[in-house]
Amino acid sequence: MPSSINSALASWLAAGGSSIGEISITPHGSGWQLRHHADSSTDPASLKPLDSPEALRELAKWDAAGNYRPLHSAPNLPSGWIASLPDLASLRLALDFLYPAALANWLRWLDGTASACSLRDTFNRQSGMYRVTGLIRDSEAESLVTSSCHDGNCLRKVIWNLDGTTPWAGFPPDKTSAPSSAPELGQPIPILCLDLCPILLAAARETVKKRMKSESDAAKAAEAQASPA
Amino acid sequence: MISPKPSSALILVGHGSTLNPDSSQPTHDHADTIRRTGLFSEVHCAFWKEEPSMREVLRMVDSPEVYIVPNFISEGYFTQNVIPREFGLSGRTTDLGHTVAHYTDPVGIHPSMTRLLLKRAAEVAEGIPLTECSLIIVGHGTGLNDNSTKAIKDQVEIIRAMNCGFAEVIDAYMEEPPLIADWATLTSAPNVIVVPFFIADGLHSFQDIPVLLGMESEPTAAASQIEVFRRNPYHLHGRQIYYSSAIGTEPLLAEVMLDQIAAFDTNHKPAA
Repeated sequence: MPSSINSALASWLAAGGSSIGEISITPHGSGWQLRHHADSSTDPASLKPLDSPEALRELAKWDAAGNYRPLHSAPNLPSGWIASLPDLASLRLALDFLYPAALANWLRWLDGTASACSLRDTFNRQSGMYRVTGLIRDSEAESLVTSSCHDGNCLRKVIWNLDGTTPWAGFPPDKTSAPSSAPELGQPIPILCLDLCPILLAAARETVKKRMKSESDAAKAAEAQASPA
Repeated sequence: MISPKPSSALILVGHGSTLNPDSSQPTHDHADTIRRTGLFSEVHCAFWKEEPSMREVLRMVDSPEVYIVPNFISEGYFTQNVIPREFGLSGRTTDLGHTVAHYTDPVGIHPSMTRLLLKRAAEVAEGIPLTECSLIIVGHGTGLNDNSTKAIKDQVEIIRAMNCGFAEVIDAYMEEPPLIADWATLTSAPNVIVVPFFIADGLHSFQDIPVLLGMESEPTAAASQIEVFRRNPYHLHGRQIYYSSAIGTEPLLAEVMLDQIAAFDTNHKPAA
């Protein structure tokens, strides 16, 4: 029987855990306070108070410039706020909104009930407009993944690889290293990527379609050259 | 109202968007509403184009049983192909190992949608006698899949049979006949109520349908999109158009989701 996510969260907090992604969590009365790492030494009175998981979900929807953030693990969560949450249940909900499935991916990976799905397996099961992603070449995949998923764009650790065996050459080891045990006392919960995201799926489609168009254009040009009107 | 299910989780599945935050908002809102009732041990959302994904959200479930409700307007490619594939479902009920999943029909095909349509129509044209109103339920429409229009045609039939007083009730579509662009000839009453049968507001309800209706000459700027619903009535062709936001944004949709779960229990749930 897998462990309860709330129990695992409580144990991590009791052991001094306080950081996930760009936020820090501190005990506050019988509840918890969350704030952005960038605000760790800012006077709380100068921060915008938030008091619900739903308010944090709305906050996480936009970056500081007002752009939509479809990728919650992008390192551009706005700062300047402090959220007070009354209990563990609301903290769990807030973390699920700020970093969707991060707690679950971490815990299920550790207890062995979740595994990573390779890029090939993900692309090969697609249908409809994304079926074409199965045609991506290994070199295109390497280039796309390492240019899209680096820490400047996404804080998740890339646990899936190309085909179940081939690792990504363009990442530092820490970006793809999977945890084998719960964090040491006080260490952050890593945000694991076990299944590639819709943003990468869409980018892979564009990569393949662009190459196919280029090949088609080249073939047409060669044909026209071989048989001039 | 269904009885509490303290051993069951609920997952609402939406399409979501990597471009438009309005796409997933109604799904989150309905999840908030159901979460506050305490009927389920846990309530999560999952999306095709947003986080968490369908594969991820299953890992969030701690309960031995989970209901998966597609927040989609009709049966089709997503409800019949993508969602079962991504969740690993093999039928109405699937033992996934750590939990048993029950897969309900999409919210949009439940008969309770009628109640929402009538409420929306009454609100958007408040004070106007129904006998002086034509009601148009508008959908996307596509020649590729009959199911995309079936849910709307069914609602039109139900509302007509109720004889609740509308001068007429018709269906119309963006991309197949009867075309919403022909609203002026399709209807005869002095007031025309238009309710988009979509799960969320987005480009179709903010921009495309207003242009097809003639309310806007070109797509409106992003910042003022919501204004399109605040300028009723629109005076066109000597008639008044009352334009509603997408039916999926109606708060009562959360109740329809619960109705869909009750329907599953009645019609499909295996004996314990």
